[in-house]
Amino acid sequence: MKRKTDSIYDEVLDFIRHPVEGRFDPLALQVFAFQFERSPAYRRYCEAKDKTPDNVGSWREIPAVPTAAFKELDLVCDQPEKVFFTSGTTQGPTKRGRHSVPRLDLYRASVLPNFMAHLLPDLAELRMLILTGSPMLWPHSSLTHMMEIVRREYGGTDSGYFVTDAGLDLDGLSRSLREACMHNKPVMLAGVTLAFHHFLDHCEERRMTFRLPSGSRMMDTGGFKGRKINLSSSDLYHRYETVLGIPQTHIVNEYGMTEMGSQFYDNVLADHLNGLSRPRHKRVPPWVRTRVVDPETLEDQPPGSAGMLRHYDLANCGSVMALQTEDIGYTVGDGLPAGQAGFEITGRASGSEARGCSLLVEEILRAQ
Amino acid sequence: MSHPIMLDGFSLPPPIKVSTFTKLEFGPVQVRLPVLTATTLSDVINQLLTTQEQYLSKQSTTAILDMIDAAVARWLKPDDPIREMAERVLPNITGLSPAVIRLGLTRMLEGYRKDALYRILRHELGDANRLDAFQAKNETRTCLTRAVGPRITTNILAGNIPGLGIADLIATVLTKSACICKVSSHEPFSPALFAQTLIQIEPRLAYCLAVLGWPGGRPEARSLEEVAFDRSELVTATGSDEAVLAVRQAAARSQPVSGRFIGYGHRVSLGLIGREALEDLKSAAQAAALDVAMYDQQGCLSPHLFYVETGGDHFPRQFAKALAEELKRLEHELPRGTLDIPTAARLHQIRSMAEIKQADGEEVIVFGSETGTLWTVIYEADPGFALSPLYRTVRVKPIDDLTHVIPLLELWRPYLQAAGIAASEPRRVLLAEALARAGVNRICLIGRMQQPPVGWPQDGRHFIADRVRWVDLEL
Repeated sequence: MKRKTDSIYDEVLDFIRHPVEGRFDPLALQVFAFQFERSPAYRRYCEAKDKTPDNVGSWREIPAVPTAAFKELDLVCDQPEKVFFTSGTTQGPTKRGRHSVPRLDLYRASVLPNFMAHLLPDLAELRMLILTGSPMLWPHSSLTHMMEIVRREYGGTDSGYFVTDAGLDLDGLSRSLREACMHNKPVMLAGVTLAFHHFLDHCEERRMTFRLPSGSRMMDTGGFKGRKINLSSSDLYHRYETVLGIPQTHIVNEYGMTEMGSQFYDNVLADHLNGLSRPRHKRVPPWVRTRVVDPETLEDQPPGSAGMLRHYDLANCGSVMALQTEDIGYTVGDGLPAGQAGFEITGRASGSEARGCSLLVEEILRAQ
Repeated sequence: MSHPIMLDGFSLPPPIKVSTFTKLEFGPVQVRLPVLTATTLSDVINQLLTTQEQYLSKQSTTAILDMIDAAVARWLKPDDPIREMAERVLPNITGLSPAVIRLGLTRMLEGYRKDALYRILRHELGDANRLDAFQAKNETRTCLTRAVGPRITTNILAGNIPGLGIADLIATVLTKSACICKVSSHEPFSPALFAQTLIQIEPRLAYCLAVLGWPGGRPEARSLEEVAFDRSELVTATGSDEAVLAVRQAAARSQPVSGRFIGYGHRVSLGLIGREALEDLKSAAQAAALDVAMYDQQGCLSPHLFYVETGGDHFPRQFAKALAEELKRLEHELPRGTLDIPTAARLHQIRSMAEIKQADGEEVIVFGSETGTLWTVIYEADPGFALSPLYRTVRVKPIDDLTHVIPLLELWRPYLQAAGIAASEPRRVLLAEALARAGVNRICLIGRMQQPPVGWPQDGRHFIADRVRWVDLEL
């Protein structure tokens, strides 16, 4: 059994490192068979839908598990090396999602090339100013884990974290940015949108702006989920540009989730450096497929039409590969086959439209 | 439906004219609303008050009831052009299916017939003519009393149920008050159509009403709200808690302290099935399914879940299955409406979550429409009160004894509206005592939850009596 387990992880690892056209589908089916065998809850879920390794012939038919399921049960195929927890901002501490990862080397293998392709396509070596907690401070955060992998592999000297137990180190960050300007050394800022928002407020109140050296870039992630902040991403990017002096071509949004081993990044920086000019959208790495499905028919939506985002991530080999997210978006018609085409996110599943006198689920949950 | 259908969502008294409009789009249907200035609104109010003083205040309650009845009769006549118009466009505007609209309008308007309104006036005011003249207050006849309505009332309407705003309009007119109805952007048409109906019956009555819209709660609407609330002796608001709170605060800023405000906010309802009702499982399930299907659970009287008592001829999970079968059958008779993507995604998510819990060995059983999210019944052993994402998604939970539901409602007390019960009458009466203390405002039979009689105590309030002030004449 142990041998078999290792072999599927190793095969996925090999594919992530050396993606080969045409290998995703058979590998996805192998991973499905493995997860079907190893995870009793997932197996029964699939059986109830009459989907088994015997009758599933394509990755698209693999039953997707709602990401909220990670709050309720442990979906894992082996003893985990590490368990990541969601930040649990919208619900009480008992309802945090947990993602158990049996093989961290798979996680790492997925993080590095994807980050490189979208944030460091020019192979720049930059000081990384990270607006998250350090691994010491946020030991259960998948985002911090990812940033630490990236910092160790690609970060220039003096790269580090700017969220402390006292909150965001505004002065330290300002100082580092001033240094970067003074020495004309480009930097990479990376972190959660809310922290950037906080820093922008701080700068705007003090009428403080930076002209960060050319080549500086940033990665933000998380958006304003669950917060009452009404700011469109174009307004936000405009503020980044004004306050930090980073052009929009160098502002890369990351879309990831604790429940998923792989991430998605905006095309803008890679496109800019390749001389391409396409609208901002998320790219799908070769070991992931993303479907945008109609919630009623569960069929693929044509490019441009909104639907639910479903991801099939081989890096989730040790938990559940097929994920039904709460995100709404559309695929971009970029000529790639469905599943590999880029996409954009437009919102979240709601129960949130305020209609009449019936009470909204979220509101009361928040009030509890 | 190749050409858009253009409708007016407003009705203004002459000679008021407005030249700029906004358009709300509902697929092929477009509803036009006037863009008002504070000056125009002020002119509207002056005009309403003049007509109220010269005409409405002098009409007898009986005369007003007759005029309302004539309008309601037209809405109930299947081939009347007004009724046809309502049936044709409300599915687009609300997303509800035509069958639900037809049944809903008929049931709702049947409640506004003359006899029903007359009974409510008599019940709430002690005598149906108390709004017409002083009448004896007590046997000694040393004191007379009468009710007086506001000179002008502003009603901020909700849009969750088609035609719901008509009730506010009728209640206002019955108190002989001039009336501003601000429509909801979710259903901005039926109040104006009702006003148009009244114009055809008695223009002077109709010109005591202004149906209009403004972007509620937004800065650009502030001056309009100030004008309307400053001059209204009564302001009512129906909608989300957030919306009602915003109106309450705005009204408090503009009204004199003596001004009145009535807010109808978020409410939830539930169903209780006693073990004796499980003897006839099919009937109980049929009745429950109708309560769920009507208005796709968008009303404050729509049940979020059913508690089913154990120890009867059938298990609660058998009730869940029977309920699912009835919802499936109703899909032909009273189909569910269309949903936007984020809402359908939420329903899909809720159902998948229940499926994975079932797979994980929890005591959960999911019954759902084969395709799409048309209806979902989730049987769940966990007794906690759980809100539904609505649109025909309902939970069924077993309970040892119906009285054990009462403590589960504690957290929801400020939000409770109706409890439908299927049980023997003595048990219903007994349970009603506890439910009333728990915060429930209406207790009725399962299957009747969506057919409230006019004057039912919405949010625990009177339909007419809460809108009037009392004047005593001591002899």
